[in-house]
Amino acid sequence: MSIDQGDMPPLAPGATALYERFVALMRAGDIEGARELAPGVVIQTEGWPYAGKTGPLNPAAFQGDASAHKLMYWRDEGGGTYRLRSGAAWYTVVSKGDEYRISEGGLKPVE
Amino acid sequence: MMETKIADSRKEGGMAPRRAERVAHDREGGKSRDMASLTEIPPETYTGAALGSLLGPLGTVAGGVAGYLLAKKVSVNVTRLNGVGNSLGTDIATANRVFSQAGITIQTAKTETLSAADSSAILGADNKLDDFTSPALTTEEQSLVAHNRTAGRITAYYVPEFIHAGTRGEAMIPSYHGVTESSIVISSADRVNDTFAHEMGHVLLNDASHDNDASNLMASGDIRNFTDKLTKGQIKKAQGSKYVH
Repeated sequence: MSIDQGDMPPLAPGATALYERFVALMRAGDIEGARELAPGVVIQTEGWPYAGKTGPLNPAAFQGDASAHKLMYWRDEGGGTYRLRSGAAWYTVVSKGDEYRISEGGLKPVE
Repeated sequence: MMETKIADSRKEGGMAPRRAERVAHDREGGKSRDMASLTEIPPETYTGAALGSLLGPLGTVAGGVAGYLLAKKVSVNVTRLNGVGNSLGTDIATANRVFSQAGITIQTAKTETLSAADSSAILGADNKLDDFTSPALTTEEQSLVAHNRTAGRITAYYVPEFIHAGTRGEAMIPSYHGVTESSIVISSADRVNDTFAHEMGHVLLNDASHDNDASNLMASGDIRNFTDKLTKGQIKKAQGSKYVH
């Protein structure tokens, strides 16, 4: 997966890398690895009544078309906090020293 | 604070949403539409007039009136929060083009614009709507959807933007949220031309899910290509909505 930055100001490289690693782990079904990058964020692994809808993150939602998880938007909230959005999900990413972590996230279509 | 948007290569040739919207607007002849355009003659009136014209000039008028009266209609209350852009005319025109596939006309009913104080009371200091992340509505959404209600009618709300960056719109519907009456919410900052029509689709179909066909109105925003087709099944279901009269 690559992020097309077009002519927009870049997202912090650490946040970009974190997001790409997280999506790759979810697609690979490595839930423990994904949870290390998103401590405290609910990642549901059993049952999935939310196909195409709003609800907790679930690896099943990452198994289809990868374009649904391409980064579409971000907003710099200041203080090392970013709100990210793909077509299928939203995230809050915060800086933790030299690293970034996902502090919130969930499935929600862009509309 | 900086907001950044990334072009989606699958949408309108890789343009960002606002860019795509401008192109769609240009394709419509670049006309600026505002509230006054809500009086535009709906398509079923033309159809009736065309049929009536077979009987002469009076038949044209009578046919037009009959076509309008016989059309299936959806009335929508509209509440605009303080400071939002005015895209309502464009959004209604697009929705009417889309739902003409089902013989349905969307028309506005009771409209209002909230004061700065009333808007701030809903959105708080960040001026962004805290949007739902589960079937439960947020406190801000509960406050929002209490405004401008009429029994048996949808209310559309225009907010500056959502707290979850880039969200274009959302629908609150009985099948997913357990609400009695349906609402749609549009982000003034992030909407595209068919966001209003898409959210109306969620309401009229009472279905929160998305279609895998990028040409379908109910495809998710990351793949939808603005063709906005409706299937026969969707048309039948929309025509049977309790909001269609």
